[in-house]
Amino acid sequence: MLQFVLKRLLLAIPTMVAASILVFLMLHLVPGDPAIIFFGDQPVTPERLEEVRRQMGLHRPLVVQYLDFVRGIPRGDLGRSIHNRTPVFEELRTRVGSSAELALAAFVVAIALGLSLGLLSALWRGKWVDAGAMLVALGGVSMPIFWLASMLIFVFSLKLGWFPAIGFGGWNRLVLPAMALGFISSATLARLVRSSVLEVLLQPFVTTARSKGLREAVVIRRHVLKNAFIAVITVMGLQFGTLLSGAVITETVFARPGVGKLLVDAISNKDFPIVQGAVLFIALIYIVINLLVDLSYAYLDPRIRFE
Amino acid sequence: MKDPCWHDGCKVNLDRDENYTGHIDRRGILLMDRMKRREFLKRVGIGVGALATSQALPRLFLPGAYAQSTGILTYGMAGGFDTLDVTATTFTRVGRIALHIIDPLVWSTGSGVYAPGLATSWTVSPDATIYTFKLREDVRFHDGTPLTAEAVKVTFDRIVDPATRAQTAFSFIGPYDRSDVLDRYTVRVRFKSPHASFLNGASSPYLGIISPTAVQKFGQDFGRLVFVGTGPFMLQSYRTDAEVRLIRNPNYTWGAPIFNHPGRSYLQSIVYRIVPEEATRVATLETGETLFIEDVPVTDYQRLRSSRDKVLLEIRQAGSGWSLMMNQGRPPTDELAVRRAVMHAIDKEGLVRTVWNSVYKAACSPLTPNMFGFDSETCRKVPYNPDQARRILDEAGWRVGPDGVRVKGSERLRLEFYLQTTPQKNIEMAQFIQANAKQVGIDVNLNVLARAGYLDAVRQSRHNFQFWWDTGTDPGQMLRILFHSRNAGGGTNRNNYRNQDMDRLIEQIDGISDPTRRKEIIVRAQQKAIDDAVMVYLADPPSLYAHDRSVSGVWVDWGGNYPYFFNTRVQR
Repeated sequence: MLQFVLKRLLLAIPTMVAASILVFLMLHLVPGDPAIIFFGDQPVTPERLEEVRRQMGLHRPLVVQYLDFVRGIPRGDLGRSIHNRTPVFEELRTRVGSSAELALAAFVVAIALGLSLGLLSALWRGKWVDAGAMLVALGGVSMPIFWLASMLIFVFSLKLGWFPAIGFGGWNRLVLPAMALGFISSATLARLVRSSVLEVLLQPFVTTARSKGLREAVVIRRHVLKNAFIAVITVMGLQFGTLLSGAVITETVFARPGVGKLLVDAISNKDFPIVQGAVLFIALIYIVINLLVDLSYAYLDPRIRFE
Repeated sequence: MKDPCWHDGCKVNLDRDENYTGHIDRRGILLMDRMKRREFLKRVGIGVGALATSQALPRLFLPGAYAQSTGILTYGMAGGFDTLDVTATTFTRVGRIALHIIDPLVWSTGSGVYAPGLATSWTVSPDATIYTFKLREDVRFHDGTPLTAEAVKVTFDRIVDPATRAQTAFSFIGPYDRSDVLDRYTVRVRFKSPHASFLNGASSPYLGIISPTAVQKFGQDFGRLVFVGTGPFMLQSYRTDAEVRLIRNPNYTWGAPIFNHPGRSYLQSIVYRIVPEEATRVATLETGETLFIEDVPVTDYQRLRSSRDKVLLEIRQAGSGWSLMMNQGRPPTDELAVRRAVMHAIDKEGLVRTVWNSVYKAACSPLTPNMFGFDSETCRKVPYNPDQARRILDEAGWRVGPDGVRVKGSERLRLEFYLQTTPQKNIEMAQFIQANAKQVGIDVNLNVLARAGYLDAVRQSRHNFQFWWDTGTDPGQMLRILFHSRNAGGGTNRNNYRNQDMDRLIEQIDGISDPTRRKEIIVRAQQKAIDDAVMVYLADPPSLYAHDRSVSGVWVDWGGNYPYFFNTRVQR
């Protein structure tokens, strides 16, 4: 077990190197000169442009730029933003907390809603409960999060006054963004839970369990859910990663700082160090999540061993 | 006394609650049993109800439960920014915050009118190359060091230091040569060439005086984590993309005479909260989470204007309104007839009505009407007249082709319009222009790009059309940005308009300090820009702010860009 974990962690290193090289190359291939973006619509002479390019370190060969970046990593030095010269590590640090807080809260909402909707509709398949739950899920899949977020603000902040509209800086401020983000991702989860549970319900071992005289609740909990969850947990893991790094719209509507927004801004500014740092961080998160997902398989399905 | 329950598996009732039972396990440890399902659901229901009530009650019985205590102004800001260092930034928002942390040398009270700030008096040489400022002697920076002529020198030298990478400040300081410290409180600022608009720059927050001691002490962190000036508020904390907190400077006794307020500010603190989404920003004003917001969307204009408990501030924005640059470096907009036809083809009144709900006004000139030297004659020069546009194109040999698009020889009259994905209004305006152009046989192709791709395209002159919008209070500077040939070829003059007469006019504007003469030349430059069909002037925006009625004493500069809260009170 320990060996498995260690092996997976070691394998993470080449994955992250590959991710960083890929991002580095892609950023340099996309058109757009960071120095020109830096000046935007400000008047500038060619000499000043050249000077800023030099300060940004863009005059050095690509390999040197990349190696410089890699060399700093062991020291925890991810470089500085080429636009405002803030250390990348600090830019990430100030936003990770806010992103993680939102991702966790939204994850809880997504799981609670997704699991219960999915289960309800699978167990009452073909009844009105099923139709109702799937209708809600369909709403979640097709509803733009931007619209849902604005509606939540309209109803719960403006009309009812229960929660503030700015979704940052305190627990009561977390409720609306978590509801918006969680609801949207619960929809996918609900549909997945429904189909997985239905699939397992048809398996012979479920019939066996029932014929042994087990109570239906026990059959569902011990035999159906455990088996259905293998597929569900993989998706849940990936969704958590998306919630952490891809909540840009929710962050914008509810005025929250976050890693997703930092990354989007950095890409549009071609702020290489920030993009590299953020991508590395996100890659790390996905690697850890995948590892946890793999470990959870062993718990859910004893046939899976990590030898 | 015999304990009735001290053996394995014995049931106990806890707290006289029959639904909440536990049992003793083999090790003698009390374990909780599961609650009965119905009881569990009942309790969840009660819990949710209580939570909802606890949130709802304060709202029902205490209107404005989220409102802040008196003396704190919360400000809804429309976006984040690059750095808090006003010397290095390119963001107007940073200027809005920084104006409270620094003091400018002079204050601008009207177009070309200046009042004392940190400088009690000043003189300008006739050729506008030497400015001498006499400073107040009672001023201290937030770090306790006194304001001296040396601080002015350090501030200005830092702007031109390439390591600072100054942007807005750099264009304000223009052809700066050096500063000479004449005595402890007198400084002489010299320019390499005439710079009549320097006082305008000195009145902006970007040339505000900063503490040399702090700059030295904090190095690269100055402006990023700390920012030390002499202003009525001090920087308390800054969290990127979230909020900036300012706190009252308790020692402030040097408020500028125009504010008629010798002591410290009334407000204890100002909290700038960054709320990029406009609907959310307006919502925060209505819930009381913010008391003042900037960039009010035009869709909320009427409602806020007629609101009983909110106040809408509408100030005509100084600078150059929304306009269309036509690239002369690329066919077919290199042809005067085509540009003239475009000028007549665009229905500006229709555009401001459709896109801007008539909150913006149709524009006439490269300068907004409140700018010094604005020429009202320009409003009559190019009326909307599609027939006239068609005639001009016919005469120039552009014939209507089979698909309605004009052709000349083998060339189709197709124009490439490059624009950015945000703001959304950009795209709406472009679509309106596209439809107008189609009516006279011009095919406009919209290329909507992210910032990097857009800047690449227009700096490399691949466009026929691009939008422009700029704020500023100096007409010379505006005209230079738009029309001077030195800014062509990849700079800000993306009309790629190169005309020696225009260059000469612009340089004269900067070299004359006599207002009447200066105005005359500004008028001539505007007329020339229209005669040469350089740009199409579309819409003049107002600066729109809104605040709660409990807020009073807000001062906004005449250019509409900098709300200033030194005299502001919040009264509940």
